[in-house]
Amino acid sequence: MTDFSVEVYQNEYLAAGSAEVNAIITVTATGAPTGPSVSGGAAEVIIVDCSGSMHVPRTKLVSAKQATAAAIDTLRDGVEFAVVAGTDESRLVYPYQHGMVVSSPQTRAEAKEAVKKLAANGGTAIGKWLKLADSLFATSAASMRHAILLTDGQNMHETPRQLARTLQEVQGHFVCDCRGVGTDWEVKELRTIADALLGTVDIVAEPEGLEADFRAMAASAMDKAVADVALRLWTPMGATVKFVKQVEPTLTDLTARRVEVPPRSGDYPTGSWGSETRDYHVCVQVPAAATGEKMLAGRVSLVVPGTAGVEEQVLGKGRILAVWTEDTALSTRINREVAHYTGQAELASAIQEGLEARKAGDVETATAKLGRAVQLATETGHTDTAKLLSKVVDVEDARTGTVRLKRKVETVDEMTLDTRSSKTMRVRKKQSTEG
Amino acid sequence: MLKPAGDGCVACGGENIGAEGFCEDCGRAQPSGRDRMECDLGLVVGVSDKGNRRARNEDSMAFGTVLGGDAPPTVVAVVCDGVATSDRADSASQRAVDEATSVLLDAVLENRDPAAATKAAVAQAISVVAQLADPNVPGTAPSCTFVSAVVTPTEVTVGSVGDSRVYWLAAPDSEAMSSRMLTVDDTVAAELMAEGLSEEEANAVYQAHALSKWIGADAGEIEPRVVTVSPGGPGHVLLCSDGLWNYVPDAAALTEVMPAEGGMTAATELTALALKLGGHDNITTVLVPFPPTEGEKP
Repeated sequence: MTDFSVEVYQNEYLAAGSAEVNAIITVTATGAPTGPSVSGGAAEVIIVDCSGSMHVPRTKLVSAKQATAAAIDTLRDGVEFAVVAGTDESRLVYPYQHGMVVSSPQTRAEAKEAVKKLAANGGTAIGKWLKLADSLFATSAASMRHAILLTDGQNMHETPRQLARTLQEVQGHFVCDCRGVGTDWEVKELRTIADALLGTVDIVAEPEGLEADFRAMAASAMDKAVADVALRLWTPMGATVKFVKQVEPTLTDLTARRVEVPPRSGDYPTGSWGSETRDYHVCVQVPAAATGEKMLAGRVSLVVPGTAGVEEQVLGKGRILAVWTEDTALSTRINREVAHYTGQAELASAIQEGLEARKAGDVETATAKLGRAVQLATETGHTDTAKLLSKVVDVEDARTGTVRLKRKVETVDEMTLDTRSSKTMRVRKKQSTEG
Repeated sequence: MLKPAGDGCVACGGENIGAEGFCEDCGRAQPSGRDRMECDLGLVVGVSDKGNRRARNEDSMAFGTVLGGDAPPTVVAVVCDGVATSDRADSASQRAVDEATSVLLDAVLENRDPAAATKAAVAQAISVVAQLADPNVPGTAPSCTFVSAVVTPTEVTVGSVGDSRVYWLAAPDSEAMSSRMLTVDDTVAAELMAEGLSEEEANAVYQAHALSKWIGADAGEIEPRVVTVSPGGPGHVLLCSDGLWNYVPDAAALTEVMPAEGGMTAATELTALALKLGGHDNITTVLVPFPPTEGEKP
């Protein structure tokens, strides 16, 4: 049985007339079982790009096959799985008939054999791959549905609208982690897919790195214990939810994903959970009350959907408060957690906007944004990000954010910086005051 | 601690008040029905008022007297001020005063040492207030301050945790020791002053008035400050929350503004003064005459 605990970090004190309440919600799932005995079971679809470009260089396809084999080896006995080859069409590689097969030493060996025979030719139509995966998951009763998507190129053989429509259709049916290999794929495109399907996105610059990455993704999917968990937010009459973002381990804006739960609540999808901790930033606009008044500005809980015979469960409870005060020492206090993640969000958007401007040839904006990113990364101790930034800009003064754009930038450095900009760092835990 | 059923929300009039004391429609915290408490036991009187600015009264008070029998006439009194930043602070202060008072009364009846009893009362208060904490909502454990007084015909024993205070207020022309504060605040400013900073310097630091000690699940290992004095002459023992002393912190000044006859008149008058000067916080005033002798007002 997975249990959720909710912690709220905020400064609940508002100055007279203020109406915006910010809080960081830390959600910790505990007690996730390990092993295949997950209620409702798990299903995994591995989608491998087999477009013609996977031959260039040759190591790309070879590594992708090895990585897929490694991921297959990670699947526990009893997990349902399938392997899909993607081109401008999509093809089921294993099993041999439409559907999924239960993992066993024999089926895994068969699947690896089938993967070995994969050849690359044709184009890229990621929407079709996802549709096939979706129809495969539809044949399974598993509640934990996870896909790994590997691509090396842009989605050339369908329009962005087609892809968007597919994403809308399959959204909520499964979680999908996306990996781009090489440097010919589009970061924004893959991030859109990963965000829509509540998965992660990353770059695997060298094909040799794929195997370890695939194994890690499949292993982490095996560790999930509960699927389709939603974050439920109650807000009082007259309140507006300005945003709900996942801010740790990666930045994902969930605001538009709200599903109304009357009265006065909404559910935001968070995907599958193992034993892990994630942070959310909730911003609510409430009707201001007189000083001295105290209001419940929001209540956060986690909703685990019901499975056969078990009713939906609402677990954990966190309260977001608003207390109006004339004491400015209280109302101007800045909450550490809120500031930390506000800074992270700013850092991510400074990087993404800066790189966009750089691509568009807008040197001035690019310099300003990336300069700000360097400054933020330095201030907040994001040494990894600072290192990645220094491959794109020459840093003159990190403290003030004075930078010059590098004339020559390796595509891989630029893409790595872009992809990892949405990875966040946990705020250092407060010293506990337990006695 | 909610208003009786049937009463609507103070803000929107809705009927839907949740168990946590918030309106399930508009979210507003509901008053706890303790907006104004007055109690007169003859030898000890108390007034607790919500004040002008707070949504509810999170202070509480409890007291009792032991007269006749083997024990000398003795009064025990406790005042707790719920920490506004904590959850259900009103429940914390109520549980603390109730439990601590009964521990102290038992000790007096059994002729036990008031100082040891005071420590036991604080330990009991911590244990009951800690039970209020919701493990799912860390960081907001219900908390309160604590002051107690055990007043015998010869001695006054006070205990304190936090920034509520006990004052000795000498009667006019009394041969007793001069009016003074009997407690020391557990605040950042007070600790800095103890380390040698001037009052002005200490009060200027960030969060000078934040509590360094409190009663609650997240309070850690704490012990109250316990002091016993022999006043040596008639006067009053005043227990109060910062809603009163913030306006008149000086013991001599308090002696001057307090009506000399004491009793309910004095407690009401002091409360009215704090309200007149702003009433920013909850105000609790408990007065015990010294010596606490039946029928003999000092």
